[in-house]
Amino acid sequence: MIEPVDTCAVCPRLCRHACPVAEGTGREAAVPAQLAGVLRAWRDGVVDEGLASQAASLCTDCGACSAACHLHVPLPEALAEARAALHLVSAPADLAPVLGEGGTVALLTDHRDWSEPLSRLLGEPVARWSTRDRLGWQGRGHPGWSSHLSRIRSEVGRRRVVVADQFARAALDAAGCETVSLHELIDRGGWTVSCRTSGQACCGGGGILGGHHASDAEQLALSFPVSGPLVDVGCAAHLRGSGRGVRDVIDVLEELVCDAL
Amino acid sequence: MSSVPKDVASSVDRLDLWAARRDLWPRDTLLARDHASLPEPEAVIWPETDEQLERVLRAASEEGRPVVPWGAGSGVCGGARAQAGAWTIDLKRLQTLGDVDRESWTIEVGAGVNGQRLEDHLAEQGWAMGHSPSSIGCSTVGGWLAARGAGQFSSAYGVAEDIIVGVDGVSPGEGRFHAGLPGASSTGRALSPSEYDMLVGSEGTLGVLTRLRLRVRPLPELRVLRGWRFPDVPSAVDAMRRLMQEETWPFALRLYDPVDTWIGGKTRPKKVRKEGHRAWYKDLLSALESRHPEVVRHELALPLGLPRFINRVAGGLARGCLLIVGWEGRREVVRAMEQAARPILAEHGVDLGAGPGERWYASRHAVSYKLMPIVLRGGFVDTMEVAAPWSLIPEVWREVRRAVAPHAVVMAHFSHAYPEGGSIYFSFAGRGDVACYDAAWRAARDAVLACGAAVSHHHGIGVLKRESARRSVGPAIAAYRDLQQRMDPRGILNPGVLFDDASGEGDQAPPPVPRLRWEDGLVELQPGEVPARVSPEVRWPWDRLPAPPREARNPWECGWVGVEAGLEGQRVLLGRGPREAVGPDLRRDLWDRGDLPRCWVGVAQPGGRAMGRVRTEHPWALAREVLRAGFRPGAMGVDGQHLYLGFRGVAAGSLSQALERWLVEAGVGGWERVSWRLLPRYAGPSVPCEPTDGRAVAATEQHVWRPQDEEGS
Repeated sequence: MIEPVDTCAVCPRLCRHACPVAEGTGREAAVPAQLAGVLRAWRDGVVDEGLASQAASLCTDCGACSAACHLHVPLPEALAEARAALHLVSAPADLAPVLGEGGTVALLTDHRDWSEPLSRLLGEPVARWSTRDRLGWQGRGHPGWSSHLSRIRSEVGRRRVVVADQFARAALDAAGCETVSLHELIDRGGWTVSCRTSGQACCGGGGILGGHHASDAEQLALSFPVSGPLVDVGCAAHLRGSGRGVRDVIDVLEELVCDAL
Repeated sequence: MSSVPKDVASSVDRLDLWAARRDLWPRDTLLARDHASLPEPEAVIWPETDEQLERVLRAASEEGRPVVPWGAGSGVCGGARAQAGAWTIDLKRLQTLGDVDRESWTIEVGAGVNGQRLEDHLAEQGWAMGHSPSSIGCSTVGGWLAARGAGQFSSAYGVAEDIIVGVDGVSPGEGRFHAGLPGASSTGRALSPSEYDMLVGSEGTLGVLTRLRLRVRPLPELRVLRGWRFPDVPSAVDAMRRLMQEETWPFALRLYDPVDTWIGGKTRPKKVRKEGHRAWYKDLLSALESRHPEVVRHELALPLGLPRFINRVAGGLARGCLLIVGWEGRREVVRAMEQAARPILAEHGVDLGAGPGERWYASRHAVSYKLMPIVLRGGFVDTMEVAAPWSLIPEVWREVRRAVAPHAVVMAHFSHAYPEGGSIYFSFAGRGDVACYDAAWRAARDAVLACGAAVSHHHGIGVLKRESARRSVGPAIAAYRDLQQRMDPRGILNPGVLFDDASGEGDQAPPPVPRLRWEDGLVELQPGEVPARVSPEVRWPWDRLPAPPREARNPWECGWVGVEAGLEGQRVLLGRGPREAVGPDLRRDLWDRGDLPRCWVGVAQPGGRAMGRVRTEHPWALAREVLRAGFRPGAMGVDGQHLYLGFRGVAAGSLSQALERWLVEAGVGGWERVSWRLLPRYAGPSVPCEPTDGRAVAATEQHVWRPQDEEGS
């Protein structure tokens, strides 16, 4: 049976413009069809596991290649399978408890706590929930993934979760939780963190690539077209020192609260 | 690696070397499919500035290290494949992408900008470039010029070299250089028009491009597309010829031969194609795939293994062919063109409505996706695009199919048409390894050369066609070698592509010179003859030859097609078809140096003519506005304070009326109808000037032009 990596390995790489990593870093090796070529060669015993691991970890799992493909080849799924086979999938970390009261939960993906200004902006109590591994999204495919989703569901309950990171959001969606993007909530502030290809919040390059290809993550973040002030969550965190007018998420929320008053 | 300048991003990571091994030459795809060994570069380098690139090239030159410029590796002729020990210079961090210059209707972009990204960027601002190659998602702007690419709308907007009006680059011998219209960052030596011609299509062997300036225009007001069914190729090709020679300027004009129409199912509605007579077959394959995958793997083995039989059967079963034709632009102009073209199309064609054209437009970049199953199931597939004058097209179509038939299933479409001729795009698929692939290609190439047609229209030369390119240019190669010696004295830039001297092809007799026929709409001129004064009426009446460089004329205003002259005891013909892309454009040098040179220029068809004039203070400024409004006058000139504008062909009357209405709307009164006259167009060296400059002599959509001063400014 012809598998996605076979099809993509001989494809004219027509997904290259859609891939935020390939476009953002300029790295030919990051083109999804090139990743497929390496994984096919690894499957067929032509290249070693080290090369395959490098290739598989260049994918941020954003799905843009599959969306752009006229054949809708599910390459992201094939790459996720390859990561599992290459033991690149780690078990999701234990979940921290949700702290505080309220029907809304702020999911905090770094050390900053923006739940308080969000609470004032929304005019309601907001609980806070910290995760340092994007709610374990990279553990997708791990045997413990299903029970991990159950634990997410149980921790969130009927509350809605405000989230800035699309992969953490995907984990919440997989768990069946109600989510709201922080980006949408404060979009009226005019700030942006827009991926050039999808127009969505972020491609996840700053997180997933940060571990294996740190310089690519930085290059990727630098490639964002900036049409307004940036808020330093997600990939834009890599831009803090770039002199591109990056604003602290808490400051932006505080400003919006003032504007609302 | 140690000699790569340390502050320039580079990698010797195995993953990066692996990815730089091959471009999209199908022969290398076959080798990669079979896990054959392919050479890898020694390093991949990502310069981010001209200055970095300059230092990288200097370092490479000092140690005689080959470098391979790399855009997105979308070439299908092996022009960017890696070489062992070489540095691959990946240009994708040259990402300049500013706003459209609304005054000059141009945009400057980095050579590494992806085509689709550029098109999206322009569309967001309400602009378009009119260049839409099927590789747009997987190619870069620099690569378009380096390989003399063409887009699917070339009938209206020209090919890449018509759309690109200026370029900056770096070479080991010259350092930084620029050509055509300079940009704000252009530095170094300005290449002469002849050198710029040679840079175009040089595939990275003369310099590495860093920034390009392109023509843009507002998104069209209206786009219409229709499909027409014709009984056979000759009648449809004739309709295409007449549409172009009658100056109706469709942006889309694509004819599928009967086999391509039949196999592609392009005349049937999509629903029928999906659920129709082949649905049962797909169901069967799906059922088999789960139980007997080996059967599915060999699904294509039988038809591809019997190409001669399949070609015969397909040729017998296929009936009729599909022509897609479309116009876009100013509403009134589009309506006038479409209406006027209808009788030409209806003479032998049947109107299939908007469906086929709109389906093609929606999926115009998707065809490449259909080729993978053939490759994966042990077959090979490739395409070959050739250029020829109109009278030669049926013969080339017939002869190439006959030559390839024993090796592969072959079909063709005709997708780039100009008043002076067009291109045939052959697709062939066969079964077997690279030896079978090579045999099919040799047969196709030899047939093209025997007919006297051009072996490339827009795919470039690379490694694949370097022998036939060498034979085609013959002794005219000397000019290119001279320039190469200056720009790359150590020969480090992409060695091994373009012209293969070792093959001995340069010593072979050149391909025959095709005999021009009336339907080609071409006339032969010699130096000293003024196109504006010869009879029959020359389409673009330049006041001297050669015509102005591309940036100083509109993309559809063809300078010349072929140039034939004697060199070293041989008659050499360069430009065997319109917009041929057999490596660098050497015609200007052949014209200057060759013995008894002659050139082919287009002549206008007799028939429809409508002309008027308007008195205005700044006639050339108004001429630019007329062009920007979407009109394409066949005749445009200034006499005193009068701007003369005329239209030729079947739509002449209605276009003239539309122009008159536009002038009134624009507040320009006094339109006066006059009898037809040709006004010679200035063709000497010129530079852009203020639209109100009293020295103005010409206009394009981008600029008003005045003669260049003797000092060169």
